[in-house]
Amino acid sequence: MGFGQIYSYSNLAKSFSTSYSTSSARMQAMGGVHSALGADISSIAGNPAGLGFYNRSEVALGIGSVNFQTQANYLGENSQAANSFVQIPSFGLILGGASELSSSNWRGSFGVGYSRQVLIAQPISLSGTNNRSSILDRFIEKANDKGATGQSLDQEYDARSNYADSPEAVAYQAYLINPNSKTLGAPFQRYESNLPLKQSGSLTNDGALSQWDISYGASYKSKLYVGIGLHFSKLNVSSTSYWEEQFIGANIVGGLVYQERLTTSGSGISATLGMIYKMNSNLRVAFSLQTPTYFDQMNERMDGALSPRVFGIPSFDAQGKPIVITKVGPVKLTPNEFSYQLTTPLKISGGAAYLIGKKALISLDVEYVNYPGMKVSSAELSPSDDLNFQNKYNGQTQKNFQAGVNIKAGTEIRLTPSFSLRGGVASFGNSYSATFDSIDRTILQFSGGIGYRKNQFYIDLTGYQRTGKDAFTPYTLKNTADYSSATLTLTQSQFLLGAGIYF
Amino acid sequence: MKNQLIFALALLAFGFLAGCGSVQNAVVIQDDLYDAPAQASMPVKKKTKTNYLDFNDDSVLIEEEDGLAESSLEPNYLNSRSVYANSYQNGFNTGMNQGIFSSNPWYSNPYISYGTSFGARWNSPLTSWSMMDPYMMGLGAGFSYGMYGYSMSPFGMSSFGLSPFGYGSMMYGANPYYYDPFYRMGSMYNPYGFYGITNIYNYYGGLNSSYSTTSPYKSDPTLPSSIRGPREERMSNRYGGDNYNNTPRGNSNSYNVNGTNQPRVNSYNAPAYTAPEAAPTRRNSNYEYQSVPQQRNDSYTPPSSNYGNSSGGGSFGGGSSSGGGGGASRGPR
Repeated sequence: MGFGQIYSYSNLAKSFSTSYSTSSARMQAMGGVHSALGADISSIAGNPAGLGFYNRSEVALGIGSVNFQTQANYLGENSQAANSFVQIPSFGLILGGASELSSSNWRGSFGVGYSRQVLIAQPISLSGTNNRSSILDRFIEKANDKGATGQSLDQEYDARSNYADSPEAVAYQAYLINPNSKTLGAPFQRYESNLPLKQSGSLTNDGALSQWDISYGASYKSKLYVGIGLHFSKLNVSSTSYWEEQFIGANIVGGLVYQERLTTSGSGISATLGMIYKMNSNLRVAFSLQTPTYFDQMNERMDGALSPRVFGIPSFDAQGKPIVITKVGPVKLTPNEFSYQLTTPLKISGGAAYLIGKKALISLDVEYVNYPGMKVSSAELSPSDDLNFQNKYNGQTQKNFQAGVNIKAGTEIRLTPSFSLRGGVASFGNSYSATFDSIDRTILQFSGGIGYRKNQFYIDLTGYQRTGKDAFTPYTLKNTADYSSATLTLTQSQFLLGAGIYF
Repeated sequence: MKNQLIFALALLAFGFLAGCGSVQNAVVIQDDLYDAPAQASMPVKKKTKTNYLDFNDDSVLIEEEDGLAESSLEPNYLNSRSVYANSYQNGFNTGMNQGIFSSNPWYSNPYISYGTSFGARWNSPLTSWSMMDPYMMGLGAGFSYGMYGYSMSPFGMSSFGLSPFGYGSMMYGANPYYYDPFYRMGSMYNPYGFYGITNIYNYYGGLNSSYSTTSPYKSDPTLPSSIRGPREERMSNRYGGDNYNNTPRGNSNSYNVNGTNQPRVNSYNAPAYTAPEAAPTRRNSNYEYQSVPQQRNDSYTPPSSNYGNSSGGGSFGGGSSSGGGGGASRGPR
């Protein structure tokens, strides 16, 4: 199944490692800048040195209404898919430095919080009339390539469980592909292959990578700020693909529905080191380094099922008498389970902020993400198989991805001591290498928001929208003239409400 | 566009309200992002230890509040554990031997774990609440394995859809505790028990992975175990070393500009129907069929009737035959 391509381990590693602005509502409104600012709940998961700016304690919570939209063009037809939900992107507790230490050169704050780093919820829906190929052609090529025969595909099937080990064996057991009557094997063929067919598909993603963060930040003479953070990540993602074909004008096989589902879960750990230095009362610069997150055990499970729609397939019964098959039940793909280790890329961030008195600020963040450094391995495999596994998928990673550079800029204007207006823009650079394809997958983000602040509490309202391009190929064939890809326009918008109480 | 409009209106309303309150601008609003901490004008005098009975000094009490009382060189008789050195262990043993509520003092109860022990983690309100969270039950895209079990319903595209199948986005909904790194996704707390994809595995616990026995895929103990190993990009789920190679992945997931979508044959609108070859039998017998009717015998000719045909061999038409040759003629007289 072509959908499986995006389930490649290197692609999954990229998907699980791609994080956009995940900070508080206040910082999100400023494009996600936070590394050089501090005194915000974002410092817990971001640059922990920012905790050193706290003069008091705080408890904060964010709530967001997020909307994913995808517009697809497949074979000249436009489709749209959307996914909306409410989430809690972050909450946390900061315990500010003790006041009795104010005479000391050192003071610090401790923070513990929860943050969602990656949302995997972009849906895809596409449809079109295909005059050249069916997904069955993909299965036929696979069967031909491995030199399968009808008998060998039969051996991949277990009648008790109704499981077949490969998609081509599933298609064979669904009576949708047949071996050549002379060779009893390749070339396999399908019924009425010259007919056009109506194709429609969808991909549903549900999941997130979230983490608990424990951080400490300290300031030295309110000039130099340093911090360290520890992050415990949890990943839970479920991706379901659905593919339907209707053979127009068919007499034998009317169509099919093929579904796959991949669930992945894992736990990881990482650390962050950061510093902020006040060049003067107005200018401050920052640097932070986030180690790769090491997921010690990624557990995955793949399921699939194929449901044919049959009009009348000529065949024989067990006694050899001719029959016409009028209905075939769904055939399932044998579930596949696997565990592996994943290392996400190293992230290095630098930033600067300029405060215009206490009236306004502007800030800039630059983030470097070393995507080619992503690694997968599997302790479950034998050493030689593990080496092959690493060579294959880590090789793909190094070939297909390049380091990404994310640039964020934002500003805040304090219209009154209580009321602030914010805006920002961010660019998340294309992390696919030029040899992968010609699509520029740079994500652009525009954001804005307002904030109301008193000495005891604050409340922030933020909205942002991200847009980008991508492509999706339902399945591939050897002859590139026989299949098509869908071009995608991705949009993600979110309204965030953040609030905090000082104590 | 509607969302942007709502957001703009909210922005204006908020600005208006804030403007109404600007008469209090004289109040200084602290913002730690901008404000440096206030430094002490003079060094704080260090606390010195004094006798407890010195009523003019409260440093001992401060020590107690700071949890430092035990570090005092002189015994602090307000510390009960100092007076009753073995009482905690005694209470612990009593509670352990005689029951939950018998510990004295109460805090020595071995069943009180303050939420830090393994047992408390399993029974913590957070864990129980998260598993009872209605957002976790059957939300998101359903995935049916039934015949044509489509998940194309409008609910299927939303994480708040009520999927009748129960799978899907358990991880969505406003439930941050679901991601607790200490949270084990076991099914034993699941009141409904029909989530099959619940890995029971310990955090950093090594290869301790198993699946819920309530899994719909595992409900039949006779089912073969699933295949373990990396997926080979749908090449086959069967694990085999020969699948490992470092070949390029081709045009996977890249935009294919070469697709022509031209018909395979020019006359696809009126394809010629040719009788297909009979599909060979295979193991899957989960189908319905009809017997093929017997072929007609070409040498058989159906009997003809001669209604209205006077030239036939017989006639029900009337009196005597005018044209027919020979034979008796049947009919009313």
